[in-house]
Formats: sequence, structure tokens, C-alpha cells
Amino acid sequence: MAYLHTNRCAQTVLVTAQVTLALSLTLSLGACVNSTIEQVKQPGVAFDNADSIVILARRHQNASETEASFTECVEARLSEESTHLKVHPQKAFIDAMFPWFEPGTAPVTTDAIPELLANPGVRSQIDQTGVRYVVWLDGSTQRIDSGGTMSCAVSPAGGGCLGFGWWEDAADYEATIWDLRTASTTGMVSADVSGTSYMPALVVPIPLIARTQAAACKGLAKQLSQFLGGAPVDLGSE
Amino acid sequence: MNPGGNTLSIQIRRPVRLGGLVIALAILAGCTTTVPIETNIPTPLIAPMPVRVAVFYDPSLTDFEHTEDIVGGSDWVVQLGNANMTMFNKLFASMFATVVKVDSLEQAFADSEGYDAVITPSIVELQIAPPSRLESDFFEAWVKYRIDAFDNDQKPIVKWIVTGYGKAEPEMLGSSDALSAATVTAMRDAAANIVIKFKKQPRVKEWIDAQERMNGLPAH
Repeated sequence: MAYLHTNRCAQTVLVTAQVTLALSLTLSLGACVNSTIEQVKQPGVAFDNADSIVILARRHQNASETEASFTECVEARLSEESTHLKVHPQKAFIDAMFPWFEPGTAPVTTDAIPELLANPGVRSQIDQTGVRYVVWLDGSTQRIDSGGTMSCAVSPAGGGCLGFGWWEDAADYEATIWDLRTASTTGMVSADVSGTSYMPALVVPIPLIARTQAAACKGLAKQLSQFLGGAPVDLGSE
Repeated sequence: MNPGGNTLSIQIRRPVRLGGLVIALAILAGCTTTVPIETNIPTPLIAPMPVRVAVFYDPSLTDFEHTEDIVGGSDWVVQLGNANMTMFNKLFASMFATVVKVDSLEQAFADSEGYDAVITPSIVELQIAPPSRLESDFFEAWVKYRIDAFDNDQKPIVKWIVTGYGKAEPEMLGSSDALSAATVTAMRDAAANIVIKFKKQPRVKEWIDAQERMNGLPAH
């Protein structure tokens, strides 16, 4: 427990802040992420870059639903980094296709695509959007472990914290690519990322965040870009 | 503990979730937050059923408000009436060939020659769960509607319950916006179910087939 009472403590604050900084720098080496990106591609599949892709999230009624922020991240990264890919905005596509790509009504397997396309207006609307490939994102980032204790105190003379906290996140995502024209799955990319974050506090808590979800987004988008663009793919861990 | 007795000490045993913090602040404020819901459900991509329907909106649907009590004195008042009207107007306009809004069921039944059916939607319930209640990171909402349909002899065709579910992340939105987004998503989920599944209800399907035979159209 830390108390801050008088001006005499100002020097103590300076010292403890320096110690916190040093500790943070030391621990920053540990606040890292481990990523494994894998892919499976159907043989003989050639992607036509004249067609558009759309990134959609599989949504479930439980806590492990794919976060909207993750889908937006992958869509933004693909749009920015892949000049050869035409990425159709997710919301515009779902709105244009309403009610056929809602969480409770979207096709779950490629077997359901012919039935979907048989509904009046659906095929022509898909043609209008220019979308041929649907990338289904599934997965989430979960807190798998945490620990440590931190105490904070506030008094008229000031405040501060003392302690140490840590937590470990695991981001496990899978992207399945459908070809609406052939009603088939053309491939799959997965990202398995874990990272441990730390928060040491000597007067001032300094979070050292492992950006687990961001790493998964970056890795998945990069692999999808290569996958859909036909470029050589670098498999394995990074 | 500070001997002076004027030190506030807080033990933090795990990272504080922002959603929980927002709720805690709302509780401390002890206020009532009114959340008017606005929907912008897209025009459904479907072929309309070849029937003329009269639609009656009961005031319990168009004036619907839901109050969610949060332990500690803070309330959320979710106003759903206008959104209900907007949603059902758009859905029915796409689902049926002709739609006429009537002011009462009596008015609709009095003009039985003018319509093939009378439809009256109602809301059964809305449930809201803030992140603190479920210890999740999301606001969640469940909405349950009932759709009653009568033929022009005032005989019931179907009484159908349809539900919708939605959730939203308060970390990306404010609490009110997250609550609103979860409710809108639940309504949209219900709307999608209504558009696709209403005509698949066995009683409705039988009735539609009978109407098509009467009108000389091939039954589905």
C-alpha cells in the first residue's frame, strides 16, 4: 500500500517513478505476442481479381462471437494493403442482401448457396454488388489467465498505486473463403495468437499491453491478401 | 489503511472492464437514462405475397417503452414505439402486394371485401442485459413479437411468436449507444425472421396457397 503525504514524498515519487520506468522497460521485453498463421487452399483454385470479396463475421449467441472491431480491422487492412483486391464494404453488402446474410439466416455451409441464390432477386443483387468471394471470419479474443494484485490510495496530499498485475489473451480466428459462383469452399486461413500483458505500478501504473487481437488481424489480413492475390505464401510462425 | 482516515484505498485484482466501469458510474450517478430507438432496416429482398392485407398497429406496440432497473437506482428507459412502426411498415410493404393501415380491427373487418387478411403485430417483451449483469463485455437485448393474422371472415390464420437477439460492445460505443445498438440488432434479427419465416408457417402457407388458387395463380 502506498501513501503520499507531504512534499518530502516528492523525492520519493521521483525515485519510485524511475524504478517503475526501469521495471517497465525490463518487462516490455516480455510483453510480446506469439503468432501462428496457417492456411489450406484447394488445389487448382485461381482467384479472379476482377471480382470483389466481402469480409463477414460468423455471429453466435455467446461470448465468443467474432468482435465487430476485428472484422473492421481485417476489412480495413485488406482494403489498404491489397491494391489488387476489391473489398466490398461489409455493411453495404449485408444491407443490400437483407435478410439473407443476417446472423440467424446466413447460409452456414456451401450446400445452402444454391437454395439461397434461388430466392427471387438474390442472384441479381449479388451480381450487382460484384461480390464473388465471401470471407467468413470466426473466432474471438479471450482472456485465458490473469494474476497479480495492485493497491491504489488517494489522500489530500496525492495518490498512487503499488503492485503488479498481468493477464494473458489468446486470439484464435479462422477465415473460410467461399466462392459464390461455384458454391464451394476455396480455402481457409487461421490465426492463433497469444500474448501476455503486464502492469507494474510504483506510484504510477504503467500498462505494457500485448496487442494480441491487433497481431491476429495483421497476420490474418496479410495471409488473406497473399492467398487471394495468388502471391507466394509464407507459412509458419512469426 | 491511512491512520488519518481520509485515504481512499482500492484493491484491483483484475483489469477493470470499461463496460463495467461505465455502468458503475451510471449507478453512482443514480439517474434515469432514456434511450429512444431508431431503426433503419433495409428494404427486404423478397417477392411480395400476392394478397391484400389490412394492418392494425395497437397502441401497446406504437407507444412501447421498456424500463430496465439497475440495482443501485439507475434505470434505462428504452423507447421502442416509433422504431416498431418504422420496422413493420417497411417489412409489410415488402411482404404483401397491397398493404393498408387501419385504425382499428373493427374497421378492417367491416371492409372484409377490401382485404384478404388482417394483420396485427404486437410486442410481447423486450429484455435488456447490461455487461455487469452477465459479467460479459456486451450489452445484450432480446425482443419477442407476436403476429396475429385473420382472414376476411375474422377467423384466425396464425398467432405466431417471433424473437430477435442482439448484442453490442460498449467499449466501441457509449453505454446508451451500445444499448441502442443491441436493441436495433435484436429488432433486425426479428425482422429477418419475420420476412423469411412468416410465409413458411404451415397455416400461413396453406392460406396463401388457397388464396393463389382462388385468384387463379399457381400455388407454391
